[in-house]
Amino acid sequence: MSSKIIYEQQGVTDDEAEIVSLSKNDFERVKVGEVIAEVETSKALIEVEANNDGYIKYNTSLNETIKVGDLIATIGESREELNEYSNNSNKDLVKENLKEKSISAKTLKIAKSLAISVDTLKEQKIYTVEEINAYIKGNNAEKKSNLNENFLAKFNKVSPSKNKLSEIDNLKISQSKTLPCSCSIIIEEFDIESFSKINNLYFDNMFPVIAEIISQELKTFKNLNGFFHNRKKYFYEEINIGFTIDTNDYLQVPVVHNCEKYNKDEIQNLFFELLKASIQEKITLSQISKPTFVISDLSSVGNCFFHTPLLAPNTSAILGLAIDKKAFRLVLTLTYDHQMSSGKEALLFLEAIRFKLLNGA
Amino acid sequence: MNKNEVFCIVQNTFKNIFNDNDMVVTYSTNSDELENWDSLNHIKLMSAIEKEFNIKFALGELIELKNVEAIVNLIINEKLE
Repeated sequence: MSSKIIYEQQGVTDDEAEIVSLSKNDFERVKVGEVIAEVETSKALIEVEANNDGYIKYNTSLNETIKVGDLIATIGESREELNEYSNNSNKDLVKENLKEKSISAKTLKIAKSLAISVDTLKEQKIYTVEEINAYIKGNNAEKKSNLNENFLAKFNKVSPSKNKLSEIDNLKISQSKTLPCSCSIIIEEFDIESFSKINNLYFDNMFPVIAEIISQELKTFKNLNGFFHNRKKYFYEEINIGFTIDTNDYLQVPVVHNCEKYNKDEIQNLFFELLKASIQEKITLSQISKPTFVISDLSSVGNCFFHTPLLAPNTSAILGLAIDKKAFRLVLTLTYDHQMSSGKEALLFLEAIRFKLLNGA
Repeated sequence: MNKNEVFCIVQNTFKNIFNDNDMVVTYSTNSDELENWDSLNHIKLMSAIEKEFNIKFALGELIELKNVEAIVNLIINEKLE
């Protein structure tokens, strides 16, 4: 029996997407879970997986725009079945509609045991065991959902902004595609005020120095500047370092592109330009596009011990900074994708940053 | 606009940005003294001041301003002439 792969809603606002790759040929063998296509929404690249073992026949073509509910492909048990399906699908549909269906004996038996009348079966167009099972499952789900609704009605509810929902969707997608893992080091006796003076940093913001060090180190630690996709590692040539800004509603990540080309003073100027553009809501799409590595600094909020930041889409690592001014402590936490890197490599990377922070970049 | 009038507006802008009406802002108030005066709040502050006086700070000026007196003097001497 053939199964269909339908394009489902991916984000809050996107109801259409573009087919950017088809990884199989028509009538090629596929296994359940194997990536058969990639679709691109306005926010993310999404892998479409086979929902069954068998032979595939695409119903879409490369670069085609598809809508939610559109059929991407059909998987059949044999090539012949697929051929028959594609040749006769229209004829079959007509036949199916004309054919007078009868309720199978087994279906009637199940219906009787559950006190479902024959009229209900006919009304709901239930003729087979599969159909009655789906009907029972659906009824149970509906009951469950009513229960949930009654339970949730007791609470006050607030809808997050569109931007926050989009942030949630992006982060969910990136976490589901990665194996996030974290690793921390603590730098004791770290005096941020002296450090800022020595390095000519404004407002004790360490981003310029950290970004400069990371840009140098990522040339060695290539696994932390890429992404894992379809069982392969992909490496970025450029080093685009983003930093997180909490707008009080959602997180924005402005990006210093090609960070490896700048020294810390130039990075500092770019940082303040981007920060100003963000605060004044004048930031452009290109200024928040394509971070390959992200730095998240919670130090300005308070004396945080450490936090484990979430990976941004299409990145393999994010560095969390936490400075405790009173305890003279700096904690560096790296969240990385375990498909790309390892705990050992993450720790060596953090140690390399520690060495350069304490001994000068 | 004289120096005191500029100072009063700057003082109120600080109270708004730091969300603290009881905040004491003097000419000597500086970023080392105010814990919340970090890079994010600094840019918020400078953007609000630019709007208030209808002026623009160059990036170099903006990041160098670390105390209230320097902010008031720059507004008086260079921006409101």
